[in-house]
Amino acid sequence: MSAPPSPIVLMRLLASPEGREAVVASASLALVLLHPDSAWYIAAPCRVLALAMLLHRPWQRAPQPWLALGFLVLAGAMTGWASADNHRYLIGYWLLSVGVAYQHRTPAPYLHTSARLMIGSCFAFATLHKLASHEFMSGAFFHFSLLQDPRLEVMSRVCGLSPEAVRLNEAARSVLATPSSELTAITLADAPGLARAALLMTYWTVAIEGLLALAFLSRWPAVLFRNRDVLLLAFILTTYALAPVIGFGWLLLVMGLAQVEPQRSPWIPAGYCALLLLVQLYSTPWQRLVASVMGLS
Amino acid sequence: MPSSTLLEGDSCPKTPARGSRVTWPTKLLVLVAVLQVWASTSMGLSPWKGGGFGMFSTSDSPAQRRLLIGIVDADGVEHPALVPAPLRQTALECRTWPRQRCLADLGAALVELRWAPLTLAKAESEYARLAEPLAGDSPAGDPASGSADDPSDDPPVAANVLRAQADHDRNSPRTVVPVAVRVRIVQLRFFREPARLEAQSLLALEVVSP
Repeated sequence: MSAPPSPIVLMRLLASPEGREAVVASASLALVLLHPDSAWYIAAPCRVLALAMLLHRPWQRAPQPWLALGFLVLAGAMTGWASADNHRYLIGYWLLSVGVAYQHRTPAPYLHTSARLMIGSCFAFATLHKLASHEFMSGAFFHFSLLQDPRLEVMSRVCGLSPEAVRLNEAARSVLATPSSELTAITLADAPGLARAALLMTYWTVAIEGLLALAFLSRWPAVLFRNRDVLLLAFILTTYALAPVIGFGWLLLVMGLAQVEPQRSPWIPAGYCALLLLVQLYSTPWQRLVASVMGLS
Repeated sequence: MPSSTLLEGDSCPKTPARGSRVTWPTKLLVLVAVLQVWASTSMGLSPWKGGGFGMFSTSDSPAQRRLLIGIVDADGVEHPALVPAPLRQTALECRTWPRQRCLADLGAALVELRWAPLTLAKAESEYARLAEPLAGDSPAGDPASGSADDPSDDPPVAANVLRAQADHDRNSPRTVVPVAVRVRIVQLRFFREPARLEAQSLLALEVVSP
């Protein structure tokens, strides 16, 4: 029985273009398997095809299976448009891009460019939406999220919201969401520290997402373009710890790995791979554990 | 060894010109995202949905939009009602992208239904009620045998909301036949200082029974 590969072997694998190609393909297929569509008639054929591609390596280098997978995922996003998260579309575009890249005799530059432009475009549109939203730019969005979103409860507690206030706000929303309720407005429990924290989160989010858009879409400024991988890794490390949209985080990492230039330090692709594993841990209730250690629960 | 690999990037010996490397899936992403910005800013689509990237830019997600159904009975009294399970997907689509056409379709489907007060019953009582018609057919005798209580001793509690009736209980004396259905989409909006939530109407429609 062979020993598991050591980190040094993994680093060597990632240093070679072929090794990275294999990791990108496998991680893209794992994304399809781990984050299937909610509709069974999309999820089942996607799983079968992705598994077949994982097991039969030549299919990973053929355009047709990737295109079929991409069209299936996009069909799922479109038929379930009212509930489909935006990254369902992005997964579809990405799988199609891999298929299109393999239609060319030299697929590498096509895939590299697609990954970079897709990451840049999604951050550009995300920044555009935020800049155009008065609610976001005033800090009201994060203020509301700190009051209502259970994923941010630990941060709310650190900012001074009491457990009683958290429970009251949960009840307040339930009151307005009840069909028989005749109330049209309800007061929420607040804490003075929340508004300041919300503004900080607002500025941080707009700044890092705007910089990411610029870094991935433009070669100017050169320092930003050169360090785009570090910026993306920092974004994923900080953002998905609080808002664990694991599928989106995983997809950004796969695309990030696909666009790493060969001359870059091997630590960059290794960083992407390390975060591929770490984001899975973000789905654990680590915030509650931290809260209990800090005596906040 | 093939001359090309996926990740050779700019060092690839047969690198095509940069502009020509932009493939149609990337263009499709941009096209859909531009249309989504237009639909979410001018046509009421929730910025969270539709293939753009407006998540976490506003609290105006489908979860913050409520669909309110009012069943108007023959006396003109309006009763709040729950969305029936088969119409939940349509209701979600109406919340995500409120349009007259969507509400009209939903209202037309709702006005065709028969309604009854939602009741909350004890599990034993509900089992006994459902078992009663089968008692004669069961080889094991009364399926409800062994229940300690007479179900009639523990009547269900009526909630202040209607539910769509299933086919098997359409002859209930408490059936409400709608003369009209009112459907409204309201958005829960957050205001600071003081922190409060307000329900604001986005779209409303009344469908009269034919």
